[in-house]
Amino acid sequence: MKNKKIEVFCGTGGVGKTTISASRALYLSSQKRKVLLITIDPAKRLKQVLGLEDSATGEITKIETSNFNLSDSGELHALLLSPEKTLNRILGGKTENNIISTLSKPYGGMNEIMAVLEVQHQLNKNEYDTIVLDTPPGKHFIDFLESSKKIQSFFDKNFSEVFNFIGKRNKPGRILTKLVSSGIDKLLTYLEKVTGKGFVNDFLEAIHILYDHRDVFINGLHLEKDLMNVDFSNWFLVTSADQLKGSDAKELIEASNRFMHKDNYLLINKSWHKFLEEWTTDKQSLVQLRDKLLEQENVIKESTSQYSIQQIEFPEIFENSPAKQVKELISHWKSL
Amino acid sequence: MSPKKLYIVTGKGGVGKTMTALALVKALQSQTSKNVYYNCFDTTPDKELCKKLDIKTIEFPIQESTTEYIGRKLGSKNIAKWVMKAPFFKALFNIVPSLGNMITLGHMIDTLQNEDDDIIVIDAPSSGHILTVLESPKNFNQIFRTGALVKDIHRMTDFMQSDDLVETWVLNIPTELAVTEGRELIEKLGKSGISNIKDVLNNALFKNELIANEELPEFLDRKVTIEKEVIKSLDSNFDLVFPMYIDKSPIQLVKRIEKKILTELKK
Repeated sequence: MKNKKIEVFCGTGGVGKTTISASRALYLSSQKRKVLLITIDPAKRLKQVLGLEDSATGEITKIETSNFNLSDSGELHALLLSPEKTLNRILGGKTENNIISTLSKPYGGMNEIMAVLEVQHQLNKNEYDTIVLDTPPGKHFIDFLESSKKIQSFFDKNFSEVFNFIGKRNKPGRILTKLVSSGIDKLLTYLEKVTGKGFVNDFLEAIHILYDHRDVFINGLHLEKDLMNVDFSNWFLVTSADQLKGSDAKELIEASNRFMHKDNYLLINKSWHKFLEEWTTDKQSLVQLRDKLLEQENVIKESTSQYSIQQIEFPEIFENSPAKQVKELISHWKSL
Repeated sequence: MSPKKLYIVTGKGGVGKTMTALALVKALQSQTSKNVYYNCFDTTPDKELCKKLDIKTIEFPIQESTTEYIGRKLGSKNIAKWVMKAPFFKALFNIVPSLGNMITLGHMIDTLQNEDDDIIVIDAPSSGHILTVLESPKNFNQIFRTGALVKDIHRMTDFMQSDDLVETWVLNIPTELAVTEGRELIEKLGKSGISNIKDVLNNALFKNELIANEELPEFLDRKVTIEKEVIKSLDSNFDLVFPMYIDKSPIQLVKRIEKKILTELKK
């Protein structure tokens, strides 16, 4: 496996993305690399896996790799994404605007967009050999990938005229009466009818603030290209051998096809295959159980065999503590 | 069991939300003559599977929901269509997904309030994202502050917080990560005013009938032991416990969970 600037872990929920990506980041740091691990999922299980405090959210935190039996390793830093802190950094401070501050709260729904900007920011800083990215589950992973497109359409040329018009010459509040061209005046009049005047003013102010920082947003668009560049990224589609994840894995491979290149891997996690093969029994009821379990395990292999993607199998780790699981997984990366 | 109007099935990723939500639809179908619908919120349901299970689906595509809502507020469907066609609005909905979440939820509640005989089971997004959905009314209330929209938002919140109308199933599987996330989710739901919650342990291997009283190989023994350890150490009292069913057919799985739901709820 080649070393790249960024490694992306994606997959549906509960397949072990966070644990696997943490182990990968620790493994890379054991190879003397300086690594940053970023998690985008608002549920933030990474704090449990690495033993971080809630207060660490939004701040880059150094991880003691010796806690994971690694000595003489490189550095590992971790970041639990906080949309609010990312946005404040972009805007150069806390905003008073009611709409922006409400939407950038932890469950305000701006996670995926802010994630793209944060990752791009960390890449620009160029302080790390590798950034490992733990993405949100399922559909929200696609949201993350498509964030660039959304940002682009928001700052599209078609709007620049409007934004310029709203621009510095106009104080919010007087804008409505001045907007006479481009049909946007009509739109805003309707909007005002539904939402009231206070909102429309806040709204125009919000757009104005965002537009003032459009360079940062537009800069985030580079990420999409970088992620598709084979010299720049490794992709891991994580899926799990338990619970019939076959169709999910198929969907994931197909959905991410257009984003990926040849250095991508289908990672089958929590596999019981090895244990089941080694299990010999004569008892009829247990033979039946083993065969059923094997049948279920094979669903994922059967449903992904048509794709040319390289496969890596990780056995289930029978440990309760996430930290112990990570330790075992690091040695599995070493053995690959 | 007197059915609610809306059931929300959520929990960490991979806890078996889809199979359980489908089984809950089947269980409700057998208990009431009302129309029970299956909904996947912002994703598309597996219609083939639903058809095989004789389950009706209901969807609220955001574009249509928004056009209808704005049309009602402006008193004209045509103007609403024109507004929604503007690239400006499309871009806005894309960059603020929680606005879409709120409109979808609003349309769903509206439908339920107008149709006495309808029940909806949502196969909901996992923990982090369901909170974004459920906190959207509160957030937009703060954003709009006054006006016609706020009244509608209050109507939504009242509905969501009613224990007679809404029941939320938080699913867990017996792993430390899933159960911890379940506890956190229940606490945060409580803060959003949602308290009619069923705490469900799903996919418990130690409850599987084939596992009981057998001489197991080491790895299965270990799996059963750590499952029991997790539950003990996190001191959870689950309202419902479903065994792990080993079956590669989703239809068989749904039928078995349905049967289990019905026997558990009779207790």
